[in-house]
Amino acid sequence: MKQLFFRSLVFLSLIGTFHGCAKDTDKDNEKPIIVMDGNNAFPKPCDTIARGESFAFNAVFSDNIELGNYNIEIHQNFDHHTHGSHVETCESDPAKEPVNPFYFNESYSIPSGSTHFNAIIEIQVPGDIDTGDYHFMVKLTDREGWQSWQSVSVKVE
Amino acid sequence: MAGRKTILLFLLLMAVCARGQQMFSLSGVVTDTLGVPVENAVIHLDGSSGLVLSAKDGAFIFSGISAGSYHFCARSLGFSTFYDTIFINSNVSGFAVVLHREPVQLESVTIMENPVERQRRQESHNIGVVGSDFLTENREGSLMKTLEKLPGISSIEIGSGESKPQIRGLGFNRVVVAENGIKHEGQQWGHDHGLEIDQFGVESAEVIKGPASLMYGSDAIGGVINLKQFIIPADDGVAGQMTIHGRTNNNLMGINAGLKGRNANRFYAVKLTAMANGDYRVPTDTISYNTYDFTLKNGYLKNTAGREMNVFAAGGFSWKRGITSITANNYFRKSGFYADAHGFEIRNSQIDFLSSSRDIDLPYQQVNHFKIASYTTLFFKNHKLEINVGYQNNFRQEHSEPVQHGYMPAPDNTLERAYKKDITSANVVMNHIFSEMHTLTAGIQFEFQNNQRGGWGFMIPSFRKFTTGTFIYDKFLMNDKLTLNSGVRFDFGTLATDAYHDWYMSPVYDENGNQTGMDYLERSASLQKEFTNVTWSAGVSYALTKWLMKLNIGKSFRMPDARELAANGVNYQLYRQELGDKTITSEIAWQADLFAEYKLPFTTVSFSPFFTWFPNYIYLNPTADFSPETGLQEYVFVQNEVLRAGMEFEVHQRVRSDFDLGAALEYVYSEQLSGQKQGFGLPFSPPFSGTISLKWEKTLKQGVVGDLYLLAETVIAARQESVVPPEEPTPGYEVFHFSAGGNFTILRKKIDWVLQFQNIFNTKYFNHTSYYRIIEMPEPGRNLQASITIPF
Repeated sequence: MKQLFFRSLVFLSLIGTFHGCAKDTDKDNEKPIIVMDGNNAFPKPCDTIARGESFAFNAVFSDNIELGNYNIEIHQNFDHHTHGSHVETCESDPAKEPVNPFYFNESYSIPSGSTHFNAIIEIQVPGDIDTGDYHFMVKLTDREGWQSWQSVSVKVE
Repeated sequence: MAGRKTILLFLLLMAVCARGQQMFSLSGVVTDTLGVPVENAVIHLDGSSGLVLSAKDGAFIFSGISAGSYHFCARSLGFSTFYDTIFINSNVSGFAVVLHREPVQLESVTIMENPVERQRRQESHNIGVVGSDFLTENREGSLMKTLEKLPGISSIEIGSGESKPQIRGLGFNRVVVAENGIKHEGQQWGHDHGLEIDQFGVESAEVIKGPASLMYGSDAIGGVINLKQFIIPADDGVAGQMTIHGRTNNNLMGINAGLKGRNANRFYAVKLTAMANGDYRVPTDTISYNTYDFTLKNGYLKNTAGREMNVFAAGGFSWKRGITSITANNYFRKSGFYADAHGFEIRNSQIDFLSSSRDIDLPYQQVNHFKIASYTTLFFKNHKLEINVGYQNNFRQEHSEPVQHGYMPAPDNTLERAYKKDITSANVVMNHIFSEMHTLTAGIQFEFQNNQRGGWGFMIPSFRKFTTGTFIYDKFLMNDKLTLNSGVRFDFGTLATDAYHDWYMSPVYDENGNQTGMDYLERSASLQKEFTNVTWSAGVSYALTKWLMKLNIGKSFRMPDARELAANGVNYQLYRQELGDKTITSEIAWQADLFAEYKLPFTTVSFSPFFTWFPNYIYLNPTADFSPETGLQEYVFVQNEVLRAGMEFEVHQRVRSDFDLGAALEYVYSEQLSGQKQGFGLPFSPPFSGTISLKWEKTLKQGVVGDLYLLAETVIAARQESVVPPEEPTPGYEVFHFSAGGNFTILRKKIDWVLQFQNIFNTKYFNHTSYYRIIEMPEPGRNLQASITIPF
């Protein structure tokens, strides 16, 4: 009956082989892409934003099938926390307690059917907010629900 | 068939060789360790003509054997199987076969092989039972991780030694964990909660693969793990034991002490477990998540230390017409969350996590689970009545550094979430025995839950839940081979959730998107839902000497939980907004499964394929939308048609008398057939995987050494490509483990020991079903684990 055993092993390894060959091709397994370092891109790491003025967010999004929506969040980083996609190091101000921090959180849609999109959004920065270190976070989804995000450190002056 | 030809040729050669050869006989006596003869033991001599049974005085004889080397095996119900290799070149008589009784003392399970094996052969469900021998030999960081060694069982690791069971790829609230039939409640609040069970306190575990709603009601859609914390001792006397347990990976030290006794018709037990572990270590210096690299100092995962404590007491008595017992236990566990990746919002904390690898800083979780239950069985002439009543209290807290987020100001305390659960349950089951061939079982079950939330983080509203179910189950033995099982069940449940408003104000917008003011937003409206379900199951079991075949078909269900109906909050650990849907209905599963086993004295092969169709599987779907309130990606509960299929395959071959070569395989395929994720699989799908093991075991009886075993094992997993957002494909891996164990006798005390060497090569690999897979955290590295059990 050892034969039964070894035959079973052969059978099992065959299953394994077939399984290894079967690949799913019709599913979207790719995340959308955020490019924030193009020529016209803003903000880039360590850029400065002036309070009381407006600035234009500019980034390029792409996806293999169809883009979904995006969200921009600006929040204070007076305590010097970091986010997932932080790679850059900017010189930061001393840590401080927030008094009237700027907080911005808006979501935007992308025309349906787009696989490539240049997002340009005018953002007004109030004049009475705290200056200092801020995080500028961009989150992007595709139609299937894959999400990517990028986060850059900026200064409000 | 080449194989058949080979066998034929072999037989011919045998016959040729046998011609003119001298024939010998082998005779002996089968006794137990006390020298008492064992009757009807099945004795097999590999290569000779079949089986013989031992006589009333334990005697047996094989005659007409040619010279050569033979594998000998003897087995009897209630005893461990005896193996030996014999060389025969003359008549052998007086061959002594000493069978060791399957232990009935405290150190082991008291389930006799007999009733368990009978149940296995007569139930059409795919049912398996493991005792404390298995649990000790395979002991891992948590009970579910230990049970993972069984084909078809996996666990979802949620870090820090906590894990949830998965049966054939279904987990969370799709698997029922019960203790003596009473559902263990507590883990259903969310993904990130472990099971509040002391693995040292568990004496045996029964696993049902596949839907078992018939006996267990809602949630048993994926299967059931029924644990026994207390098995009544079979013999009079008092036995105590102490186990000391250690692990090098996370510097775990644990101690478990127990005392169990029986005096005629009274019995009792007390058990105590205390355990503490330091930070876990993984074989990597950096963990990379979304382009960010966390550096690990010496591979330590910051703040993953934990502490655990369990106290258990039981007592009861029996009389002519019944048996009754009460058990009570209190379990406490506190453990840290991996500090760098809690909430994915990576905060530069002021806490010095590296000051000690044993302290538990923020963020951490703690849970206290108290349970008291009474079990009574009454025997009448033709029926048996079981009445089980239980009360459970589960109190869980999650603490983290209070920080401002979105419109929420920084809270003034660390209590992010608190969940308090009170559960009262009662089961009444009546068995009516019409004849030896026909048994009817009917039962009614009630459960009432009161769930209160607390803390500054909202996820699920407070809720109350009442469920009741009644079932009837028929078992009919057509003859000694064929058994028919069938049953039907009716369930009714109500669920009422409370409204919840934020404790801070957020902006309110009109339909044009213009801000109109600030208000305490309602996260969740009060909700009152009722559910009714009819489920059934039918099966057949066909048992021959060598073959065991089972076929089971049925319908199972699961009532949606409060999270699926009414969640509306930020899951900080996964940094997403989760939204329930109050229109969600009970999830239904139609399942067919097959079990086939072929057993020879030296070989066992089993194969169990299954097929499940869910018309409305409840799936948390990641959408393309962002929450208008928090700006986080929205995950919405939806119901999709889902198909699942798979199989487990196991083969054991005894090579010579003391080697056991085993191989096991498991495979699960799942696909969403409708909805936005049509074509995708399901999250946390276990990869196609296999285990090959070689075990050597022998009863040495030399000096102080009694039994000894050595076990080498390799686990191989294929790459998991079937992912849903936000999962990443997980590469395949191969990991090697080695363990040894046995017992020795000093001062007339039998001391058991187990030494495990896990992940020998310190392989860096990822577990697709780990909660931390998403942050690229590898599985624990090399680990040496030892435990020793001393009776007193």
